[in-house]
Amino acid sequence: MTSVSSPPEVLSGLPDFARTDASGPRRRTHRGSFLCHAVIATELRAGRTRIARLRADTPLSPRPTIASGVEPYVRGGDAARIRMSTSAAGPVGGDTYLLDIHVREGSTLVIRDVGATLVLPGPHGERSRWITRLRVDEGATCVWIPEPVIAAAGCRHHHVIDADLAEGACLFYREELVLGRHREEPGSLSAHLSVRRGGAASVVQQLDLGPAAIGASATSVFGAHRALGNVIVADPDGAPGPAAAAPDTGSAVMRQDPSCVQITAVGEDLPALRTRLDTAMGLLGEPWAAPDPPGWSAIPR
Amino acid sequence: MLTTPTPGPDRSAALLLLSDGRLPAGGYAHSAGLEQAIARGWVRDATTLGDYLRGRIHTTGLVSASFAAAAQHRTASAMEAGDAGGTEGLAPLGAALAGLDRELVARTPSPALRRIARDLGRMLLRAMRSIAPSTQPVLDAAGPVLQQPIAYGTVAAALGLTARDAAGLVLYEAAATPAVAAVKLLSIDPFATHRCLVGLAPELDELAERAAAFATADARDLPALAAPLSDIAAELHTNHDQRLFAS
Repeated sequence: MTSVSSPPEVLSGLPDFARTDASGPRRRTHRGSFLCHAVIATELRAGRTRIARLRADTPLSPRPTIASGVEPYVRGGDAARIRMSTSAAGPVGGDTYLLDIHVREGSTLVIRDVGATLVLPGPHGERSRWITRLRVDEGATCVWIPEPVIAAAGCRHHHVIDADLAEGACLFYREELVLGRHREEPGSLSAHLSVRRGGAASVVQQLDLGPAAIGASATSVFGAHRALGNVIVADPDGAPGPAAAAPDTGSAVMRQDPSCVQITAVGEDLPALRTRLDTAMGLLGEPWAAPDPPGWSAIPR
Repeated sequence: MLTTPTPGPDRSAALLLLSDGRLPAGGYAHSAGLEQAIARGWVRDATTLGDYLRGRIHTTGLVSASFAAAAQHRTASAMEAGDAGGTEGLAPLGAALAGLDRELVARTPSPALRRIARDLGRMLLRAMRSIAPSTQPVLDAAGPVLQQPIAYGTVAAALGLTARDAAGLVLYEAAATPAVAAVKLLSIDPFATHRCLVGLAPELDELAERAAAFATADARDLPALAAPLSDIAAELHTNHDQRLFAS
């Protein structure tokens, strides 16, 4: 069987958005695995973005950081900057990581990771889940550049991004998914990405990769590649870049609607993927990419 | 089965008509990405063709079939309401199908594939209006522009077919279109391409059952399985200088 599952099934048994009181589901589920629920919220206070809530739930630990590097995509330089760190290995099979992010009206959040996410199989072969529910309100901006998600051999992981944008909200999201560590067999990864604007669907996709997904290794789906990346830019002022382009044989820039563009790229490994994503992002122009030769990058390495 | 079975005789003649490659609805001009896959060296022989088809039916094929089943269910419900209470019953059909269309568009990243699906949908509706005038009121209520899988679902309902029929039809089309195109693009035995299709038959049936189960589901909950290489290939194909097929 494939790991096909509809989002409602994967999203079962979760507490309400940003609700962390004791009446929610039990933190420790069964056989040692657990549910952890972190919350990030930013708001505009006296014209500046402030962190309204920062709830860590070990091992999910969001930390406030200072600005680093050039950030031309942060309008006016005002933003809350947070890095996610996980203070233990995981997620491991059986675990559910739940991250709720609320970027309230007019505020700006830049969110990054301290390191890559390595998904490991658990002792009982159960699935793991990392679910991020993102709300971006009117006039707010979320720039989210996580490090790669690496599916180690034997894992069965669901990676869910559920973004709910207001009509006048702005989103930049870049994801990199990698099957297996270096010279390792791939794990099974099911990545759901849903971006809705004012309730209407802009991007909805599920990528089932790895040994559990029938047909994923076909050249109509993913082939022999090991890494896949997506960039989503939703901008109420109009999607940047061309309506459609294929910069090389492993990437494409595809406009979804007048205010949303998606870049998809594949690679034999992570460096190949990053090169393709960076090249394709170059077509978006400022403020998302520098004119050639790049003097800066939204993705500093 | 979630849909109510159609009363009266079995409609297999209508199903055969709709699934016939000779139906003048434009499908023969497309290879569903196979031409580009061959140009890139991704598909070379019967084995790689079989893999290509299997990947397709388990991802975008299942998605298309689920949307066809959902469109069939919505159209059949509106027709039932129309039979019960005059012309008003068909009125909400346009909005219901537009909602499905929006969800399917969000599941189709490639602008080239969206354009092709819209064109093929329009050609199917135009063909049906002409060859089956009795379907006219239903197709008029459905709206002028529908992505192909949704158009298939609507036409299937108008001809009295079930959601399972619509899903099976779209899945078979997803595999057969590139399989037949392969004969014109590769040095391959036509028996070998159809051997691939026969090998996929049990999976096509199983996927059609699963797709049909989504007939009554909310549009948001329909499958969204993506095939990123097909999206990239479709965009590469629009800039390809020497093409035999439109997609």
